[in-house]
Amino acid sequence: MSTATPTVRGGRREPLVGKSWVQAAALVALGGLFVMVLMGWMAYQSHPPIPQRVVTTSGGTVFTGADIRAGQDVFLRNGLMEFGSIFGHGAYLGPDFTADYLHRSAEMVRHTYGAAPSDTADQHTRDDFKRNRFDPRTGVLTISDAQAGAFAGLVQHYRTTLGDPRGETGLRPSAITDPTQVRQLTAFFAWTSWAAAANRPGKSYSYTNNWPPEPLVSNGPAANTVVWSVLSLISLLVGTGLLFAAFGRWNWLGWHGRDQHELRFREPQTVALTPTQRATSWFFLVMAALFVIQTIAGAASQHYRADLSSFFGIHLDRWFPYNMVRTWHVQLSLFWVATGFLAMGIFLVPMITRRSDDKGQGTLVYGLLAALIVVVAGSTVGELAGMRGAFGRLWSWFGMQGFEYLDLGKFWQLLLTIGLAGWVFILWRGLRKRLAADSPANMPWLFFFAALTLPAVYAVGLLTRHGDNLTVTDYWRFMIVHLWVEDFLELFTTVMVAYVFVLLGVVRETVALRVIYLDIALYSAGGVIGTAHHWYFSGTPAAVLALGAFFSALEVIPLLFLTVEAWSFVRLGARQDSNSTTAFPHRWAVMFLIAVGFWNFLGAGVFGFLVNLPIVSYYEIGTTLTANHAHTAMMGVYGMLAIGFAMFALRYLIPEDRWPDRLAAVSFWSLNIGLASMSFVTMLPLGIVQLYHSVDVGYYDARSARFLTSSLSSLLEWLRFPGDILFIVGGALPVLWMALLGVRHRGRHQDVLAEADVALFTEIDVHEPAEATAARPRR
Amino acid sequence: MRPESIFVVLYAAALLAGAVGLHRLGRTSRRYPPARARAERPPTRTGTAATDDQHPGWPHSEVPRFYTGMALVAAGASTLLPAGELLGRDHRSAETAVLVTVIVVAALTLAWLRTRLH
Repeated sequence: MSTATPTVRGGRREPLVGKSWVQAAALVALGGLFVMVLMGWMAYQSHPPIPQRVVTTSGGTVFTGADIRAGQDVFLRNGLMEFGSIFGHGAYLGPDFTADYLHRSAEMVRHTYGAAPSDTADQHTRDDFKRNRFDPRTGVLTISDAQAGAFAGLVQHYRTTLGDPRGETGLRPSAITDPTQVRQLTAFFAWTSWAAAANRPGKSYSYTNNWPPEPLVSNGPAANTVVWSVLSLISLLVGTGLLFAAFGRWNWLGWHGRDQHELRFREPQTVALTPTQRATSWFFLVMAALFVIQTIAGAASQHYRADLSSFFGIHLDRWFPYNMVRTWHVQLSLFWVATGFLAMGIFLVPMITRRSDDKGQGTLVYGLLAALIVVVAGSTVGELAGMRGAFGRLWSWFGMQGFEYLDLGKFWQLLLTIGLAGWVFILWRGLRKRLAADSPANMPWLFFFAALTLPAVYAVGLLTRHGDNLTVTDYWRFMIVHLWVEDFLELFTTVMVAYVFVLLGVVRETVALRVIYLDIALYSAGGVIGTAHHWYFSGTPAAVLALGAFFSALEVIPLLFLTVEAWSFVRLGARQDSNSTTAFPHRWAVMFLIAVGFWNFLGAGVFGFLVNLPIVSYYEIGTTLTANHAHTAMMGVYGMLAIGFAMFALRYLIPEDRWPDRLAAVSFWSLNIGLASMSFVTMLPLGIVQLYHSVDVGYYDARSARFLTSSLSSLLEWLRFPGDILFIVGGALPVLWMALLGVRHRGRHQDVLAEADVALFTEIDVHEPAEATAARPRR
Repeated sequence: MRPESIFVVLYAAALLAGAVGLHRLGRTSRRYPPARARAERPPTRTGTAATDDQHPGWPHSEVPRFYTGMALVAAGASTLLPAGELLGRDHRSAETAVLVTVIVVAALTLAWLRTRLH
């Protein structure tokens, strides 16, 4: 595997990289985590307070803190965060309820002060909303009589819209009809809009940094939003320049001059598989099935955007309204990708250890599969039942917890966490002898540590609780949505991809290690603190906005670096540095990795940075440009990677004479063309138009049904139809068929007999060009 | 011209530029190693597995092909959007002329990229 002669001391292999690599990575990671804790403290200290009572100037109670909290529960358990959004976070078909309430109430208040144009009336309206009349000693918030009147009017409005018996809104017909619940829900919306408009004590901007933009209440971008946008851009430019200057000067990674290996790849059907490796065929089948279901749920939710009235004449909203199918679309995206990663981790262990399974490993793996099926099935059914009012007081445990990306009930979330921990246990059991013989700085340990972070970080998401202040719940929720998905999953995938290439013999282990440590440092520098780019306008103080803007810009740097430098990681054939007298068996796995690199740069990097600056996000959050980034990043990076892993494993699970190479080609091109089509044809242009409308006319209007059902929006939504069909039929279904083949044929391999049986290649000769020797950095 | 038509034309133009850029970016990865290194390599033979790599040398990199493929999608989008705008709306003569021009240029670019896909 490694061309270096291993040095062993005290029974353990010595570290292959210098201490400075490990120290740098650890320091940056710990620094980032410290700042994260600090930002959490700031969220707890500075969130908008929930008043005990909201009263008018004449003393009458309008609603209470209990109403606000109950209203938040109504919002969550009815899946309204998967219909519209709150503080900009959630789904994009329905309105942003913070902006919606704010705009409507401001219009009503203004009308109360006179219909005719009047500066006095305008100012009076602004004062009503901007002046913060919350008394922290009594817990009482005082609002004007006009605002109280607007509240009553909006209770009627939400009862009409959310309880519409005709449906055709995206929600099911008569979704919320209980008058008490509607009132509580309206109180929740009112509180969020108060936090959005009222100035923080001692500040000239609101709890949400003046988001959403609303001229009626004098909500415009705060100075912090503009200044930190500029500083964010500067940090990106300077950081990029420094990194490329450093790598232009020092060949830290050492792969510019590579060894001239001569390798002979073993034909896949001569590589022995262990029982646990064969068991992963079932995981890949589950992964593929969930992927297909997720795409169908996505097609259904997309159809609502093109035609709210019906699904080709079928009133789908009666059984599967938009918020239901979107919940499944979002949750299943995490489930199927995670299933693929878990399977790949299990598949790699025998290849790392070069020996067969310990006793009982197979049983544990099948147990994990069963647990995974239980969690997916239980949470999916629970979400459907929960949205329809099942489970009573246990709604958040077994039904619809209701937070976007954390919609599953707490019970299923807990089971999933335990399942992930069980998976790490399985990996440890398989790796333990190898770990005992290696330095904690080397790849087997990094693989294990990276796997360990998955349940550890996912467990933090358990702290998202429905009774908490929304600012606090969003702090914990984005531990999953950002830290888990964008940082630690990214780390795990970097380790796995690096390991695959090391196991294939095409990259030296030392080089792979340097890439991993550099990845840890670069992603930690930007991505950990950069989590705060999700909290710009969710009630955290301006310092969090500043930290998020500055550091999240640095997230683009490793993407730039990996795209440019690490193309040589995968551009193996273009450089033709290595040779084999046998065919390279993983063409399609490598092709999917090439796609990952492309979408990492475009989807995560370019489209992510497009919406990253605070001043852009101020007008853009919760619009189609966010969806454009989300789809191209999540599917383009993690989705393609999971399928690439499946291709790698299936290459060994499916016999040579059954390997459907053409089908793999069809799937690869269909998925990439389909994804590119949905972005270039629909989401990107519609997002640009929507952003323009948000700045030009108003955010409220850009999120309204009137805009989303306009003729241009409808045209763009319908134009993605061919690409979406190609994605599902040409892209997802072949993956399912290949996974079925993997299950069908998995038993036709011999048991592991000797170490040589699990090796993926044999090395014939190694010699290093003179320039590579000279270029190799000192440790 | 109406703002919507102007946007579609400009967006299509930007996509076309992006398509050409992607194609050229993919071609830069086609640089072969210097002659000395080529001479040092032992001769290779094609793979034994008929379903695998049919191209000479190992491992065949399809980065250029992938980039050109994505460029084709971008060029296709730059054809489809103005076509949708043209057919889905009523236009004055000037708008129609501009949209048709964009469609023709995009279609030609699409055809040219198609010949480069190998």
